[in-house]
Amino acid sequence: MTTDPLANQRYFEDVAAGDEFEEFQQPTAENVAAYIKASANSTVRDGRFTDADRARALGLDRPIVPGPMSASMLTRLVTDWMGPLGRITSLDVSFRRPVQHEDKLRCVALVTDVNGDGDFEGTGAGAVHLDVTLENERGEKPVQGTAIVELPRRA
Amino acid sequence: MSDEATYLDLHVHSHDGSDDAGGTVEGYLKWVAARRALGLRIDGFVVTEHRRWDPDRDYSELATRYDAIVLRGVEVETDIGHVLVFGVTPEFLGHFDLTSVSLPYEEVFKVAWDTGGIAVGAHAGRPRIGCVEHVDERGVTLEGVRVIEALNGGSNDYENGRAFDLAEKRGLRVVGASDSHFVSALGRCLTRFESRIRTMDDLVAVLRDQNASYTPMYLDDTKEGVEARPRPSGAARAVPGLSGKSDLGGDALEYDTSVIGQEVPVGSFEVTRELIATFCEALDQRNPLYTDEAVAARGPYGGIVAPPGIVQSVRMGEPPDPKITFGGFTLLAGQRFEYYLPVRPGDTIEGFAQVKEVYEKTGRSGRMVFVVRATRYANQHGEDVAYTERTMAHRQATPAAQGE
Repeated sequence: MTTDPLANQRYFEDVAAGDEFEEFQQPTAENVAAYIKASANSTVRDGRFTDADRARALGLDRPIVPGPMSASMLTRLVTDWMGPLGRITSLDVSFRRPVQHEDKLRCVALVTDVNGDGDFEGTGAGAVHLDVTLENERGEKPVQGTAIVELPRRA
Repeated sequence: MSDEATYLDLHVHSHDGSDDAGGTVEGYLKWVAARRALGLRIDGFVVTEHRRWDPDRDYSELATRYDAIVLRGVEVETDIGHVLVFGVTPEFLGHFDLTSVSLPYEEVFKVAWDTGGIAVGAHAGRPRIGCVEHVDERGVTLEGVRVIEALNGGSNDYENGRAFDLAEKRGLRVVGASDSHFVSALGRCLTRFESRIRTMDDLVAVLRDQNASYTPMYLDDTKEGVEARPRPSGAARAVPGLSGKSDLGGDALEYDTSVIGQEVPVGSFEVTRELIATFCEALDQRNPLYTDEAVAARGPYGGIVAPPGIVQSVRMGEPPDPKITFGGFTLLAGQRFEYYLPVRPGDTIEGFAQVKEVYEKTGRSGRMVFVVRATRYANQHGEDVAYTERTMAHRQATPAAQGE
């Protein structure tokens, strides 16, 4: 961690429609097991998320990464992009195809709109709209969604 | 090239009317402006929501403001898959229950034509919800079908390729469209019309005209000097888990409708510094606003706040059960989080949950039933701090066939 916690802060003035930000993730069986252990959501405790035989019986090469875990990767993408003073006001994702263990995932945030009407705790911060997507190495976009983020302005 | 050419994306979903779309019409218009700035050519789009026609929707003012064409059609679901209808009239609407997921296709195409509009087979190459499989597997004759969407932005090359193959074999006309649910997908595929189109009447007239000239294409190829890619190939490629199951009919959906909208308390928890610290550690969250008292004190909230995901991380109860008996397989189809107010150490957060909606649609895997559960989180002052929605899909087929 740097000494200045705000060194990586993103500001509203520096953002434009079309800006793209990416991260890469490759969830392993160990990652998925750790997620399931920590999750309060009992629906993730199902063989389809951990058991290779069960996955094959369902027509998949490998077990599935739980949806909430994929959504968490997108949340992480957005929080990394916006910096500590940013604020997520909404995140809406839809799961369109399965994400499988060991998939090479490109997590992409694409700025689709910026408007200055936000209100960040009375500081008049601006709202930024993002499309957020997980893309796999097969060219599919199994998880797609949108996020709205409030970013502070430069003083 | 004629100067009168019009580039239209004929198949777009918006958050105004499609349950699974995140794009807004204004967002799409801003995206059009951004694409044009890059030298790409797109004049406008047609909003075609799933199973819904809102007679009062009017995008003309927005369209004028962004100097683009915004028209409206509808995407309905039939026994040969999804169908776009352009030139929707009260007469057409009077014939059908748009929320049905298995309308008789011959009637949809015939009534659309007879009422002065036109129906177009959507994403024709898509498993189950496109017409190709219904022709191949069930010998459907495509009575009254004149135009299909062969180039669809949400389909893969194989699916689009076999749609072009069908069109060639049957002498059908073809269009291209993005089928976008999110702003950045707009126009991925579209149709170049060799004539001036500004209204729905213009569009319908061209699509009804056997001799009109129009071509499906990729948005990237509309840039000056770029050569258009050849159409994708339908050469055989295995599609896992799908065959001989294209029939979209079945029994009507039954469930306990009395629970819809019934909000019940599902639990509460106290937010402590320890809870926040544990959560941040588990997720490797290093934002000092959540973890560092001194930095947080100088930040916008004047003290430590909880990371937004904390409310969902606490186990809560379930709302009353709608008792869905459909299908043998359930999976998470969508999640929505909204965060309204900061959550601070010392707050007590109470959850209130309800089943918000139950509805049916058809996709790659056949018929599906969607159940939307919503939870509202309030603090000890009675203020809503967050809201979440979780959509579960009940299906007959396995996950390999997921998606639309």
